[in-house]
Amino acid sequence: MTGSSETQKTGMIGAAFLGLSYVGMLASLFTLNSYTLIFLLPASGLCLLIGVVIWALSVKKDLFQKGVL
Amino acid sequence: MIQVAILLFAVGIIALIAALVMHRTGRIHEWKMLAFLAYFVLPVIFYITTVQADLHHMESVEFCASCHVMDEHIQSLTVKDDEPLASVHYRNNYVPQEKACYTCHATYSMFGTAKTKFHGLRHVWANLTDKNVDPLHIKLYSPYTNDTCLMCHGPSEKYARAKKHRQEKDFLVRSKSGDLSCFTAGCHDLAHLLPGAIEEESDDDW
Repeated sequence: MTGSSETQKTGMIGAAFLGLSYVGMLASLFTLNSYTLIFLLPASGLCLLIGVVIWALSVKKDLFQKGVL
Repeated sequence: MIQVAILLFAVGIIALIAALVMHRTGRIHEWKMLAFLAYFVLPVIFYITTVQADLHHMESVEFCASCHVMDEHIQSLTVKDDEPLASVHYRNNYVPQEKACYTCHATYSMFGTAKTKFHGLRHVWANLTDKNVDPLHIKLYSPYTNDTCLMCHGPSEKYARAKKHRQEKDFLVRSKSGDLSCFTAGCHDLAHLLPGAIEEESDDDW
């Protein structure tokens, strides 16, 4: 699963979203402010979801290209 | 919990970077498992751990105090008066001091925790949208129920034997069912003694 350049790019975007969610979640652990926490948690969750979905789509695309699916 | 989350963060980021490097160099066999870990397993575990740590943190007095509108209520915890319930419970350590607000304002039912969190979100929304919130006159959305008090006092012998609790027939049954409120005037009607309210009152006297 080396992936084409297109799927590689998609994987990178997915990783970027996951990285964002990591930073958001880490920040939420150290913030004491209720507003920040209430916005950070759902935002990080959303980034996580987007990252995982993008990665899953890139895997699916790769498998299609290889004729597995 | 925070230590575990930080460890997961470090491992997750390293795995993510390693997965990207593997992806670029095309090392096919390592990539599959690592990608699954880096893109799915680790972030999800990290998120669950973070949410748990944050929910735990949300129970602290420090968290409630992060909204300035609550300043008066936070100060009322340490008022040296033996009548206000908040102060009596806090100063005598009848409730865990680090999560005093949560202990008395959480709903203790099947979905109590979720309900309490939704109430918390409603507080934030109210505070964001209503710019004229008066810190001295904050009201509960619904009357305080006896259940929360009886969670601790219910099984207590001291509560059952208290003279005033034995004066009326069926008192214990009626208070448990909610027919009688613990906050009836003349009973335990002072929940918080707000320092600002005391000043306001003394100004009125002049």
